[in-house]
Amino acid sequence: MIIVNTETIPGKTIVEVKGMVQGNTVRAKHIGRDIAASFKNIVGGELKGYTELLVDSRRQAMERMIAQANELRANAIVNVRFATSSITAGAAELYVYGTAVVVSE
Amino acid sequence: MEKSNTNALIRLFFDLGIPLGMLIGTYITGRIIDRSRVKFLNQKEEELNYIRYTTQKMLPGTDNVASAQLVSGTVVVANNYFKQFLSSFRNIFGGEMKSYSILLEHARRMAMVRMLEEARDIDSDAVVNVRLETSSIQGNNQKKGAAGVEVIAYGTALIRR
Repeated sequence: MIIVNTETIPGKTIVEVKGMVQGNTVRAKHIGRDIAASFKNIVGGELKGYTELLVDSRRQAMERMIAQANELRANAIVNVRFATSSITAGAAELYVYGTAVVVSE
Repeated sequence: MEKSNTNALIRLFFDLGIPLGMLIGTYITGRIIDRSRVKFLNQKEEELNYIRYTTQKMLPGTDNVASAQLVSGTVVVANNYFKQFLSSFRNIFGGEMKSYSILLEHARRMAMVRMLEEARDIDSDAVVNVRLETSSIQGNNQKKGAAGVEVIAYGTALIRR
């Protein structure tokens, strides 16, 4: 599966557009990590716990998007966009969407 | 009489001493963290400056491309207690919150560095269609507002034939 955020894939041509695919996940950090992050909030700098959480969640959202694309028998996803929003206290939603296409050399 | 005096002293210590200690402590650690972060960023950017990147869809001189892949870099940052305290004054008088500007500038550079590192790992030397996004992450304590600010950088890394 080729995933890009440009409209076309350099070196390949799009032969068929399958439609929009998306993946989302809302994840919360367990309380231990959240407490650690709130201490880190006093010191400042990078909140490693949250960074890890978001990287993991984004990967999960991407996997869901890829699963949808596989179902459509696409072999690439173009024009991928990321969006993050905070839904409720201690949780964030990660949303990934793009267009599933079939490409050939 | 004496007992109430010591009680008052203890109260004073908790009411003033701890926040003051936190202010001084975070001022010092904040300066150290800032300095090492700038040093780290300068060094990494120097290391990765052979990778070209653009917000445009195509980069001139990058024909001969076999394939492409999405690369991204994420960072979540927060300002320290001292700077949060100073910014709360800024909130009264208005104007630029310099400490937050700098924090976000560093966060963006960090996200870019991580994105470029991912591109380097797949032997790419050009990243096109770079996008930067910012969002605030809420903590468990709703009253305190945002726990941190997330910056994500993503783009398409071109893989040469």
